[in-house]
Amino acid sequence: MITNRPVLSQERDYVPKYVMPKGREIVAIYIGSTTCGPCMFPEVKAAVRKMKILVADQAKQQGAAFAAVVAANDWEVAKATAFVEPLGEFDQMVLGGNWTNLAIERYVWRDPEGVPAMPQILILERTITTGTRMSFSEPKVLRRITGGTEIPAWVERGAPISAPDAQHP
Amino acid sequence: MRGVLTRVALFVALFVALGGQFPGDTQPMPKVSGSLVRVRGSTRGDSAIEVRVDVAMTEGWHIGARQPGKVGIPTKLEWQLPKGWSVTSENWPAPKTEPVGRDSAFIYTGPFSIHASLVGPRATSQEPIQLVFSYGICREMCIPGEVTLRLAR
Repeated sequence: MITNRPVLSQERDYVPKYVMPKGREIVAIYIGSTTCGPCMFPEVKAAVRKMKILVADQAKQQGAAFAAVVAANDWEVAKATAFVEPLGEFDQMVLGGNWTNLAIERYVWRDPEGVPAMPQILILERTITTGTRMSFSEPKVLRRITGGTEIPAWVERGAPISAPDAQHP
Repeated sequence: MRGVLTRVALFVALFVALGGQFPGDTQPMPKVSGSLVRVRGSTRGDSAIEVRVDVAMTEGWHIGARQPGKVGIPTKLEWQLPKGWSVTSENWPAPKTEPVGRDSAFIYTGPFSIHASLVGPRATSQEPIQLVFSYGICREMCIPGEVTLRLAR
C-alpha cells in the first residue's frame, strides 16, 4: 500500500544537554511572537531551528557550553507556548508578558543598545562559576540579528557568533 | 504597559537622535505619525464633537488593524478626555488583508483616518482632548511604538 507521508528532514535537531555549565557559556536568545508576521515565516522558523545547531557547534569548538533560550512575546502563555512548539527544543523558555517579558526586559530594555524588534536573535557570552553560591559574569552581547530577512541570511552564512567586525588570526 | 511604551518612546527618540537608524545597521527607523483634527464642535460650549485621527507611516511598512487577526499586533486608541466626556463611536477604515502562512493579517499600509464622536457636558472645559495611539509597525520585523496626539483648541 502506498501512502502519502511527509518528507522528513534529514537535518539533526538541537537537543539540550541538561548539564551544569562551568566557565564560558554561549547563549542564543530568540525573541518572537505569534503576533509578529515575519516571525511566522517558514524560513524564519527553519532558521531558528538550524541556528541552535550551528551556534552550539561553534560553542563546542571554542570549549564553551551552550544554551538556547526563547522569549515568546505573546501576552497569553498558551499562545506563547504554541509559538515555540514548531521551533524545536530549547534549554529555557520565557513565555508571555508581551514587551514586559522578563528576558526581553533584561536583554532589550535594560541594555542601552537593545533593540525592541521581532524576530530577533541575541548571541551572548557569560562565564559561570559554580560553588555553594553560583556567580555569573555580566553577559556580553556578541551578535544581535533582527528581521525576517536578515536572520535566515545570517544562518545561511553559518550563524557566525563572533562580532561582525572582529579580527580573526 | 504604559511604562513600557514610555520606554519605547524614549527609544524612538534615541533613534531619531542617532539619525534614525538601528545601531550598526543601515536600515532607516520606521516612523508612524499622526494628528488629531477637529471635524465639528468644540469642548468650549458644545456637548458633542466629532474628531478625526489622521495616521501616516513610513512607506513600505504596515501597522495592524484594531483586530489584526491571529497574526498581527493590534493598533489601539487610548482616549484621555476631560471629566464627563466619553467616546460614543469610532469608525475605522476597512484594513487590507495580507496572507501570513496559513493565516491572514489585517493591516494598514499607508495613510488612513479614524473618525470618532465624543460627548460630554456643555460646560466649558479647559482640559485637553488627547489620545495615545499605540501600534506595532512591521515589515521584515515588528517594532512597538506609541504616539500621543492632542486636539488643537
